[in-house]
Amino acid sequence: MSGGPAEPVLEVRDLRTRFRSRGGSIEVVRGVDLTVAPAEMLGLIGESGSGKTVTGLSILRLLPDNAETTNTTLRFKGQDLDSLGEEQFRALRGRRLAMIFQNPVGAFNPAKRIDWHLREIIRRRTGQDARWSELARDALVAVGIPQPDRVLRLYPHQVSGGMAQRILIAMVLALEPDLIVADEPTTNLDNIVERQILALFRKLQSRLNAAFIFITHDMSVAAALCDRIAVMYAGQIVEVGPAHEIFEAPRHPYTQGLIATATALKQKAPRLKEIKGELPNLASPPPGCLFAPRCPQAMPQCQEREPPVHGEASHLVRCHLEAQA
Amino acid sequence: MNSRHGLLGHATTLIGASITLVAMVAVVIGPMLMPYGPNDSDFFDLLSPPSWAHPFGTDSFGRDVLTRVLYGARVSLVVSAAGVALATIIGTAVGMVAAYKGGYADLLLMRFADLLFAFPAFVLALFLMVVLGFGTINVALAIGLIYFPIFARLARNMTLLVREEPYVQAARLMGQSTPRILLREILPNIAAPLIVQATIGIAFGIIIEAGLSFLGVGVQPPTPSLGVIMADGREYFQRGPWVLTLTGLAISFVLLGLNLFGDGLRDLMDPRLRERTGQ
Amino acid sequence: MLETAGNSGSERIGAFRSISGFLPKTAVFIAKRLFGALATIAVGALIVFFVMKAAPGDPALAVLGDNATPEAVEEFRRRHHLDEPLVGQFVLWVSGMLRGDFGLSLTIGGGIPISQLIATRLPITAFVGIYSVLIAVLVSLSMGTIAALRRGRAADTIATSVAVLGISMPDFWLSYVLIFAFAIGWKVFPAYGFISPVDSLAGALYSGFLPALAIAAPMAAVFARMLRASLVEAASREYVLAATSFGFGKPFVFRHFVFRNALIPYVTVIGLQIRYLLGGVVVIERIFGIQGLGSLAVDAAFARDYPTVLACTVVFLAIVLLVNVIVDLICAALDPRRSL
Repeated sequence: MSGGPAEPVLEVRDLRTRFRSRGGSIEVVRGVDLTVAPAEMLGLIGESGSGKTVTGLSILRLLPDNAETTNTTLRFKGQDLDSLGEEQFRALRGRRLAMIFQNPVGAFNPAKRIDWHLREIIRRRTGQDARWSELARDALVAVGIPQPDRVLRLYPHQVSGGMAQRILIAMVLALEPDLIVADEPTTNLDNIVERQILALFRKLQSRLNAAFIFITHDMSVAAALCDRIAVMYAGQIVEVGPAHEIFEAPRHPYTQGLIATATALKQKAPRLKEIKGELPNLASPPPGCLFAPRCPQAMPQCQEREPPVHGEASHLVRCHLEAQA
Repeated sequence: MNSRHGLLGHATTLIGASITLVAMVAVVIGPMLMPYGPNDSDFFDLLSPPSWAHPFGTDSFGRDVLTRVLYGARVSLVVSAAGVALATIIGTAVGMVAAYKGGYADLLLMRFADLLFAFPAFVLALFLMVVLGFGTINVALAIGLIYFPIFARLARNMTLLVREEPYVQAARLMGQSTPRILLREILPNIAAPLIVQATIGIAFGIIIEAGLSFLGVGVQPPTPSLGVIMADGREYFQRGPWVLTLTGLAISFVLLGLNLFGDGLRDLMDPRLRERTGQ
Repeated sequence: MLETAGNSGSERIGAFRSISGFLPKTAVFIAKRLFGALATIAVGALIVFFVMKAAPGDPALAVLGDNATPEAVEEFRRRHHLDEPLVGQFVLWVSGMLRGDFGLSLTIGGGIPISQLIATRLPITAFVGIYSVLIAVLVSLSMGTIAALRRGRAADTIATSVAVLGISMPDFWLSYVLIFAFAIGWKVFPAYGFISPVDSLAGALYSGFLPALAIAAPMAAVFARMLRASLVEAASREYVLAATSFGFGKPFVFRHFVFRNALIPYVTVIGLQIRYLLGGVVVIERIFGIQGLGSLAVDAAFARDYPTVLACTVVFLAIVLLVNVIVDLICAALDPRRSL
């Protein structure tokens, strides 16, 4: 799928990730292409099990030992990531590429206080220790935490989910990366807190001028926040385009289904339109289009041939219907 | 303990099981196959090193050590198993009742079990030998008493988990008596970890029995037990080290089998054996 | 208290919570635990006492022999308070213990105070015990860490196999193997003649090495397995992934995230294993001729010296409970999630 006018921050082509297990191996990410422009907020949407988290982990080389990932291109700001050794890649992590996790409290070391965490982050950023407590306090204030001194002395288990997510954002802020992969950062938070955190994300983006890959299964969140949206299904991107186009005129049947469900929820419609069926078994995937078994607009060729990617430069769809139009 | 990959994990369990099996067979059939009796003295062959005629050599009375070891292993295993069986039955019963009834019964019974558990195992065994008198049966009782709190606790904790399951509720509603519920609904579902614990318990029980007999307060000679034979061997260790060494080796062998087997069982039951396959 | 100034804060905090504002809670914690331990000792002593008294046989006859004159028996009974009612004897015994008087031995030295025996022997047993725990901890830390770091590879398999062997060997057998190897074969360490640490620390360390090693071996095996398991468990936690994503180096992540959090289950296991350690001490003391509490208990057992056996049992119980309190304290300090 294509990139924007300036050099993209991230370019991914044909990303594939498999997991080896007792029974064999499963390809969870099946040829994902992504391009993220500088300071762009790209939403990555899909249901659980669609491979969105694994995509993020693959880009940051955070996969467990039993996983392997391949790609034809993986470029960060023009630099080929695959050519980097372990130590070189580690240098990039945090400083240039960062990740925000779904379970905020779980991301902290339970044996250490919050101030320890911030101090180590600051040390990573500046290489030195002086004035770390000032910087730590400032970082917490910047994300809207009242009483930063009190919070600094707390242990992670004493902090609420929303507060923890703020602190994590503060830590990422302190590192000033160029690309941030946020994996469902508000899923575990309640609505009020969620809105605050999302506002914080907007603030984060404008302050850092960083690019984001915002992973979520929640359409409304993506609508509120993202510039472009990529829809993922069964390890593949099925549609990608500007956010407003995706919402107002979705072209892939899966996307249409998602939008319809989200809209019905929002409008509290009496009947929820659901997408029938479940994700395909990736150990033995059906031939042709992976979505065909669930697709209300499926045609005979959908079960035979894999759908091609079609559309304009800024809005692409992986569907036979699109190809026909 | 639970991250052995695939084949290796199964291999160790199999090795453990086979060793245990070999040991069992040897102990049951061995004595009958041996040409000697455990107390047959050959005065022409006192304290001789291992040879074809006597694979483990002879002791100071001219007795074939291998035969004695086989008979002794029988005794040790039986004693240990008896003690552990006692602990399992009574401990499980107590634990299940405590968990099922709850309240004061639970508190009291568990406090008692904890108290017993607080005593260092071997010291408690020694104490019991003094009180009850030395001898084989008392060793089994001592082992039983040492392991009782472990089974009581384990059974109690497992029963607490299982108590609220639907099939238990159903049985209660149908008016089944408590003993029946405990026996037929709860027990089968908590049996697995108890069995694992029992396997490991028998292994350590052998060590306790051997230790007590070695000191002279356990099984009394001339009845052979692994500890008794080692105590003999100790007397003339410098002149004839093979007696003690080979007997100890035999013990270690059996224990190795039991431990590997028990470990393997535990690994098999551990659901976290699966690798992390990504969120 | 605006902030824990500059460097001192987190560095000093290290593995433990800061002391300030914390002391009263620690004191209460220790007090509660000690009280619990004392209560357990009390009940334990009670039970042990009455069980002992319920044993068949007359201690007087057992010690003096069947041919003893009635006057001798009478005298014996009076001296050891055997003619008084049971409850009275118990009260006497307990009040004595509180004063440090454990009564008189029935057989040793014609009836010397047991407390004297305990006073000389306890430090020796304590020394051997501590020595072996130290060895076990050091060995298990290295073995367990190596096994976890080289998980699934040769070093791991070797370490794990050695560990299984370690717990399969009775420690008194291992003693003889060690004696054979290092005292008879290579005459490096002595097989007999333990020098008390009170007389010479170096001597004690040297003469005590083989016995301590024998006791330590099975312990080290259990500790190593536990450490490996908890390291592997800690390494699979989310916070390790998060730390890696921040770009912290592997040594740093291992030390602060994996190892530090694996310590808690590890230390817990150490506390649990002390009971079994003491079992080893008893037999090992006998083998190496160490004049400690363990060999006292065995000698007394043979001689039917009930009061001494009783006293030893209670003392051992007290030691175990005390160690548990200490381990509990360490665990609580290591784990911020535990409220004191």
